[in-house]
Amino acid sequence: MKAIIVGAGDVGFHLADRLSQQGEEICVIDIDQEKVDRVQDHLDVLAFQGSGVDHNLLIRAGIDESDTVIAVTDNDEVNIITCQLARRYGVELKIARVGGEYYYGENPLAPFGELGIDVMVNPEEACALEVGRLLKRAAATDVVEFHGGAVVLMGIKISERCLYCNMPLRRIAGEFERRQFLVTAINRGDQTIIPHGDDVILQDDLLYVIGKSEETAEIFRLTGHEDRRLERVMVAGGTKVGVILARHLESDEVSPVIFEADRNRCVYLAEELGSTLVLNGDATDLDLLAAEGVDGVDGFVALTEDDEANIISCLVAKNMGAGKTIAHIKRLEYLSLASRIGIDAVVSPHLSTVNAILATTARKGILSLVTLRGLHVQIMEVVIRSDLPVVDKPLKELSLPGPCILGSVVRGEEIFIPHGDDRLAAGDKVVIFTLAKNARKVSKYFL
Amino acid sequence: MKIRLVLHVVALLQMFVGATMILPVLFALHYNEPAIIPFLEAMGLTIGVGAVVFALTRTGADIRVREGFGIVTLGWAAIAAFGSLPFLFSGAIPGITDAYFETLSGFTTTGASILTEIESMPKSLLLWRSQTQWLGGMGIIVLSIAILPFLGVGGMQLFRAEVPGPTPDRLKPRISHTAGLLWGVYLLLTVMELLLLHWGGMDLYEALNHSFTTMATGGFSIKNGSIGYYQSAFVQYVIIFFMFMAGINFSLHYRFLTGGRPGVYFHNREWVFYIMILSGATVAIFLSNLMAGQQYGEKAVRDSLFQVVSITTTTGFATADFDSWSSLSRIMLLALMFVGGCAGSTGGGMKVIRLLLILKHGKSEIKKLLHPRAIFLVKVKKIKVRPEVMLNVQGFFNLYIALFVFCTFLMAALGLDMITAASSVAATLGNIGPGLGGVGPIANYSEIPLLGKWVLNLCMLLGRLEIYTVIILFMPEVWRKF
Repeated sequence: MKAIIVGAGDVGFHLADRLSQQGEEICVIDIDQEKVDRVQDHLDVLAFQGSGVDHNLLIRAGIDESDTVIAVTDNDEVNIITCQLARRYGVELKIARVGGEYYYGENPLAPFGELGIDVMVNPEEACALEVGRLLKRAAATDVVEFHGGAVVLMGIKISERCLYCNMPLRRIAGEFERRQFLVTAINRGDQTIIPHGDDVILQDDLLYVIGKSEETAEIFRLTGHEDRRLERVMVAGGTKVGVILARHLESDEVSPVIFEADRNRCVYLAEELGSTLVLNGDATDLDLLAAEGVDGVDGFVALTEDDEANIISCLVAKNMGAGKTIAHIKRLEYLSLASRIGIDAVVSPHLSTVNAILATTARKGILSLVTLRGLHVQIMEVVIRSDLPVVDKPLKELSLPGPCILGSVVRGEEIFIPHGDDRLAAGDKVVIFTLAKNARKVSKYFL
Repeated sequence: MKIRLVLHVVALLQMFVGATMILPVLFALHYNEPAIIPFLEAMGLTIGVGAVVFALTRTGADIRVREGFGIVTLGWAAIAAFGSLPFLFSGAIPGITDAYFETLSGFTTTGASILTEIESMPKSLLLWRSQTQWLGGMGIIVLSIAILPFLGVGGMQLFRAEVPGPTPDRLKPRISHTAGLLWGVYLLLTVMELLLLHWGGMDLYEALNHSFTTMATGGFSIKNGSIGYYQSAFVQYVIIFFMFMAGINFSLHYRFLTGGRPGVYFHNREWVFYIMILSGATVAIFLSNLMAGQQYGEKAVRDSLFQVVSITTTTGFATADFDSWSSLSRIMLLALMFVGGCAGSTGGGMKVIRLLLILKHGKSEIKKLLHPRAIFLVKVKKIKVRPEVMLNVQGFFNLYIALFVFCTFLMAALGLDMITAASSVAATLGNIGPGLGGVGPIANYSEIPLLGKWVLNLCMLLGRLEIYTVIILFMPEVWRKF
């Protein structure tokens, strides 16, 4: 595959990084020379300085031979026009980051296809959805859904109440008759481990567990957490993400409280939203938080434009007894730091967008690709072809390229978490976990 | 700098170079030479030491900019050290200093030799000598990036540190792909030259050696009289043509070979300037030689052309004793030593594009004196040259001149006469080979004092890796552990 990425901001940069690590040939275009230099210096891709709507530049970047164009500049209209140009050159897959609300909604401007865009990704929407998923599973630091939500992958911090600390996975698995979950990766400090049966779980590990969604509560119980039902949520910052999140929460019959420092914005919010309580005030104001009962909320989400303020208000809320705290953080450097200092989960608009886009750029056979923040793990969903050597052999006898774990299998109507004695059949949809550096080999193997 | 990581990659490069010794070993086998034993020893030691270091320094770290500089510089130094083993073990070059000088002169494609009697050397050793130049020409690291895709992103840091020129072209998004294409073009041209030289009367062995050293703009010959040994005009013109080709940016060759239009050359300002320098200098030297009493004829034209192309592209072959030419011709040749080939070629020197930019910048500065408030930009083909690039080029120019002056002082302090001191430094810093006076085309570097040889060793390395890459290792903060 050959892809052109227009826009080398955080989203473009990470997409280029991920895709080139998967072995794609990438050209990046950005108007800002500094960003172009950053890409040239850090990634094995070709970068050009210029505009994404300059068709001469697109030709130089090889749009004739490209099968994917991803337009992720800050400007919706540039992204749309880039995709329209790409359609003219017969590019197969055209993806645009489009944030303007007026393009969506009940009366969209035009169906995507008509604009020349195959996939429109709304960064705010992607981010709000992620917050929603995190809120629903109280103890999870990350949540990724597969197979239409039937299977979830969750990041869970091991607390001191976990019953299985210092126990090897093999023994833990032995205690269950027919377990429906699987530890797929362990994040310990800066290290990421794709575990074997002999690996031990330690306190403060971040475990990535895949399981059927109905097992969620059980998984939380086993890792020493309790699963709270989501009833009260506080949102700091009436940003676009906040609005989308509030709407989603409203439709789930949870009534959120939104803090917004700007009075005019508050008026707008009150107008836009239904059952949401809009408060004019700062979310780091302790008295206000106490008065509104922060100690009893199940979720506290800080969504302002200011990373530092989000971190601080989450810490404050946590201290005052809030349930799960989620901070919206733009600077990628802060992501792993934030969870270490006690914030339960973080969302990044950039990474949410990257993941939303990666899920659609997946090649034939691969259904979706996800990368987790700070983790050097690649998750892919593949369809097993009938001529693969893995078909009809017990899983424990497979020799796969490098460490990887088969997380879940969908066969027809049936969904299960595979065991060593299970066999794969042609047509199965399988979720595979592997280290990012092996991703290329593994995807080659399964394609 | 993460030393472990640097050693790890250097060890890999070393094993790789060790493996290429198989070619001379095969020749030794073919010619039934006793040199095969020391060759196999050298090969075993190079690969063995490499393998041990490689295994001991496994690390998961990534190559950053500073490791890139370390790997390239130390890699070249180490490869020259191990590459000198065949000369040492076989006793063909007894002293460590001499063997190292000869090998580094090979890898850096300088072509400065300490051998006085070349023709009596075992053929396999001479082939290895030529082969070092061929490997060094397009770059060992570029080759390993193409063949061993282990480096990933770090490969680019290395690529930039090794490929000459201010801003290396990238033909393809992937650096390993680009490196592979460049080597492909290089290989193709080498094979073409090999066939033409063979057709022109050289036997295959001679043609192989000379193709290796021409395409690398190296200049090692297997004859005492260099190319002057071959009186055939055809052979000499073939070599002139391929020296000329080797001095051109290889990405232009690639574009020509894939696009097929000669326009790619003519639309390139650097190439046009390169042609202008070559033709201007040839005419001037030819006339100056005529005035000094040289006989008029095709031979005189060919000799001027050959010497000019050989020196400008930094090859260093000779078909005439240019040290006996007129004073003007000699000074012009000395000046041409600073020019070098185009960026992205296998040639050394300062590179034509840098010279072009310096001249253009000078012109705009002068115009600025006339119109103090005017804005002048340095442009090449209507495209603005970015100020960072311009500053980098000027910095390079300054450093190059400063190094030349400083090392000339050192050489003079070691007792060399003025011409020899200056030209030996210019010829090694520019990776040319023969200079004037005591290191002229019929003399060689064997008479240079021991310390002087090490000064010139450093000059060769600085010249090949374009100064910055090497000199940065003299900054203490590069050696910090993190």
